[in-house]
Amino acid sequence: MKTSVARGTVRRTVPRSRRRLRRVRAEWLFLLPAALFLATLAAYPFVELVHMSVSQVTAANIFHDWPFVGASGLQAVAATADFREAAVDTVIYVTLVVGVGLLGGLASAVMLWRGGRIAGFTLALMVFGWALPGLINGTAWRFLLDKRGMVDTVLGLFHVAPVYWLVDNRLPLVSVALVNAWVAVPFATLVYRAALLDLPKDVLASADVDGARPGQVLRYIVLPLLRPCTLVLAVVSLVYAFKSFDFIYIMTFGGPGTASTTLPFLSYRLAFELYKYSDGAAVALVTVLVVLVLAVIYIRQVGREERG
Amino acid sequence: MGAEGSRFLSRRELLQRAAVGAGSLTLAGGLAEFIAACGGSSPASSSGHAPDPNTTGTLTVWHYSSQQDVKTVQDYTALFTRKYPKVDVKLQYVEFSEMPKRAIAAAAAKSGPDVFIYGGNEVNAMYQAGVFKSAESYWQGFADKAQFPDGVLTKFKNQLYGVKGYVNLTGLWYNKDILDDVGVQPPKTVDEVTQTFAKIASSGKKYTPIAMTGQPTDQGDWTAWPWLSGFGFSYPNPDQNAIQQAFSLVDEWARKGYLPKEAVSWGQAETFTRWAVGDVAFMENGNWNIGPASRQVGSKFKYGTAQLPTGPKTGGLFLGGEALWIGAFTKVPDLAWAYMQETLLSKPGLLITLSESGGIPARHDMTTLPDVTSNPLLDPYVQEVKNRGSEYPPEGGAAIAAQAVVAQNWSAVIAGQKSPSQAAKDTAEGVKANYHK
Amino acid sequence: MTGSLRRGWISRAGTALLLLLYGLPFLWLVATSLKTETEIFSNEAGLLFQPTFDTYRAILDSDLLQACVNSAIIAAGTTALTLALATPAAYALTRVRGMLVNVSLGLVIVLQITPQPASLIPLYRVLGGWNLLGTQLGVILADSALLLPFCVLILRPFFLAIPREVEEAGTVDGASPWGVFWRIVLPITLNGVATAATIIFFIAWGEFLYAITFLTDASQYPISVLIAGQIGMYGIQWSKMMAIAVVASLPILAIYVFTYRLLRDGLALGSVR
Repeated sequence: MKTSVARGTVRRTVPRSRRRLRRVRAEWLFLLPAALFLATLAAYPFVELVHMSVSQVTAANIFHDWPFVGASGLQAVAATADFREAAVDTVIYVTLVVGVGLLGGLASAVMLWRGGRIAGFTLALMVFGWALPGLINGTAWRFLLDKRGMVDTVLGLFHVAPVYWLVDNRLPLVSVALVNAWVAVPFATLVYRAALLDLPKDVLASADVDGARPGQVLRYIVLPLLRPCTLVLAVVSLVYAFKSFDFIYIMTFGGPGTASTTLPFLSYRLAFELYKYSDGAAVALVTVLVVLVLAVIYIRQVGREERG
Repeated sequence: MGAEGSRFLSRRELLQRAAVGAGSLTLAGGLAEFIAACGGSSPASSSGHAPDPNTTGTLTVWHYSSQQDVKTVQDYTALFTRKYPKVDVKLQYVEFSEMPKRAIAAAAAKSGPDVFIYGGNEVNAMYQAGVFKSAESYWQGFADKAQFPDGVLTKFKNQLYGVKGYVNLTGLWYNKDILDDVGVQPPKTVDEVTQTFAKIASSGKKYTPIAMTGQPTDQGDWTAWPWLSGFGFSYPNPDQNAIQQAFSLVDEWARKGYLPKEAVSWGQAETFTRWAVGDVAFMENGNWNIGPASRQVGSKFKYGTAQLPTGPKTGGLFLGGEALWIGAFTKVPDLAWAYMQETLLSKPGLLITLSESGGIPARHDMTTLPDVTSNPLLDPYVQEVKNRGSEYPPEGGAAIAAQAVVAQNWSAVIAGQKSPSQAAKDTAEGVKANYHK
Repeated sequence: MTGSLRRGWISRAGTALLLLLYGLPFLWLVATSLKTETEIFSNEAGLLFQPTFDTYRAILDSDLLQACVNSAIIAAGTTALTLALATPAAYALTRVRGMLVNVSLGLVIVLQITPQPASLIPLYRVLGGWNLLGTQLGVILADSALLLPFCVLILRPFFLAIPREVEEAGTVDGASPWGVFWRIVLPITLNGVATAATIIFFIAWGEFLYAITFLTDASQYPISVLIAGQIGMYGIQWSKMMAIAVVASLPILAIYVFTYRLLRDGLALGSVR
């Protein structure tokens, strides 16, 4: 890290106002390549998505003109039972992934705070699981959650009857969400671990001296300091969970029946299995709007953070 | 093929010939080929007469045969290459569920392969998106067209688009050792089925009576169709009563443990592998497992095939199998048709698929061949093709959304998520809402 | 006390639980790749059996090697392109004020949640128009567009953490904005950039949908397609699938061993600073 910072020597060769202007303009130029790139390759598909959701598009006319139907398409789709069921399932799914992901991440970070070789190895193992492609993780867990799979076998050692993780009632949705969370936890762990390591040592030390118990320290000192971190993590995880599709696809295909169908999966099925492109686009758009609202909250908070 | 010609040709002419890439060097053939090679590919003709064997060019074929199945495709492609040695055939693998997506995306850019080998559910959407080219004019000029039953032809607006040369369908496989041990025979009607399963379940040994696909996918509705149609269900006429009877049957099996609930996540491949372990008495699965069975089961246990139990109404069995289609954006339609003709519409081609993957030739003039009649495992399937074969995808692919409804409810019943009556109601309503003629 | 929090029995038990939760699945994955096809189902949960290397012998061929190379090309290309575009952009977003920042961030998030299948047809048209179908460059472009927003979000906190004085000093010395970025800011944030690079690489390595849609030749397919390719209509080769999965994980493991420190210490999204 070599920087030569000439403190205290202010050589005014360029008037400050002009300098600032030049820098501001330049910084917009920094954004330009990324903006152009995204405009062609990301914004265009998104615009198509919006267009599709307010038109009537099927396989028959996808390459021709799309009759405009306005919001009625969105309304029609939102009124179906499938949509409502998927919406509820999505809320459950996202809550589980974000909740378990964050809590698990925090707990893991605290557990592994001890440091040392075993903790280090465990963390490495966890992050490796996160790094593997979803296809592999999903397939592996499909087998692990089978009636004759490892999880039920282990439960059997404790004389617990085998659980049909991917079959019974609400379980399929929960099981897939938990597998998704299993993948999300290591990421949260890393973030929290970094935050914990950054905690001001003197505050912790003085709490020690005052005789505070671990629980109190955690509750009154550590957690509040982790708030900004938690918020960012929450939004990132939220977006990730709302988008999540791979695990459902590979583990249950939205089933049995439609028990584990979330909005993203419903959108996929509508567009690519049933060729009701505009319905699929409408569902996708609803998802985007919901996350957008949540994202606005994030941005406000970040703005507050930066100002404070 | 080499030495004799050189006596009559100068060294320069030999080199010239080699440079042009001519074939044999015999006097008579060499000259003609030389001339033909200079001429390039033959002009397109839609009268059905075959392109010149000396045609050069590239033919792109999309298929979804995975690594262990692709040899069959290569073998029958060789039949085409033998007749058109100068055509470079590019076999491109595209994963099964991705092929329709990729085809439609390609059509957006006005491109695509020359030939599709595709037997899935989504043909209607692909047709509507402009992925296929009509083969009607070629078909009309095809000498053997009468050999193919209607059920293997896919037509849109009365024009022929896709043809299947061989068919795959579902039937009942059984583990003979288990049946003998328990003292039962394969059931012939739906009335006998549940009793047979009950007997196996109560035998005291840890045998699973039946394995079948319960996924909420196209494989699920494929498996459900014989039972549903056996009670009188059809897509144009989704009789709720019929549906309920079929669902009640399956519900009973699942609740009593004859059919494992986990079957809701089993595709046909997994169903087979679980049966091949040796503790499952019956499975509903296809004739394509004949090869895998001999490889994976071998002599571990004795096994056989039988017709699926019949219901009160005739019902049907979907005639699957890979159909061939001409791509809409092909630049060599004559060659594409020639490929179809030489491979899966020809007798040698169908003998290859029969011997390597158990596909039953659809051609009338092949059903009495010893290759077909002498295999006891194949026999029940052949009978079923005659008795109960029905078009797949049903209604030319227009029922795809309705099929999804059936599959989802089938899966929900097996899992115990819905009662048979509730599922029947939902299915009848869903099919009516989603299937439009 | 934080002492006892960190060294108590709870922490030990927790670590053991984590080890189990994250270790067993991999053990099982490797074990399954060493079983025969029927053994996978007859001895599903078993970790004790007679291992066979037949599956590995069957899959280790030139096709697999080619697929690994393809994955490497696509992943490396995506990483390079994404970083080249995202780093200046993330920097700029932290240095500029105003409404546009909020709008940009909002857009970034919105673009991040557009479902991947939804962009298949539009992208096919765009790439087709530029004659990039059937090329790995096409897939790299598509993957980069997919991952660029996420990359910006990851990089942002690193740039936020740099105090203004460092830059001001640079500007005072007469450096151009680009100079400040390239010679002062970037070297400080190398950690963050490397972290982002590793994450992008891993995700691009596992990408499947764009690869199978935009590539035409089987010889171009990355290893993720090979895994999915074990799912045939008439048969799933589980043993092969697991074996290929294990092989596909090895390069990740290799890179991971080197970059682990970075990931461990580098992810500090909005942490206490």
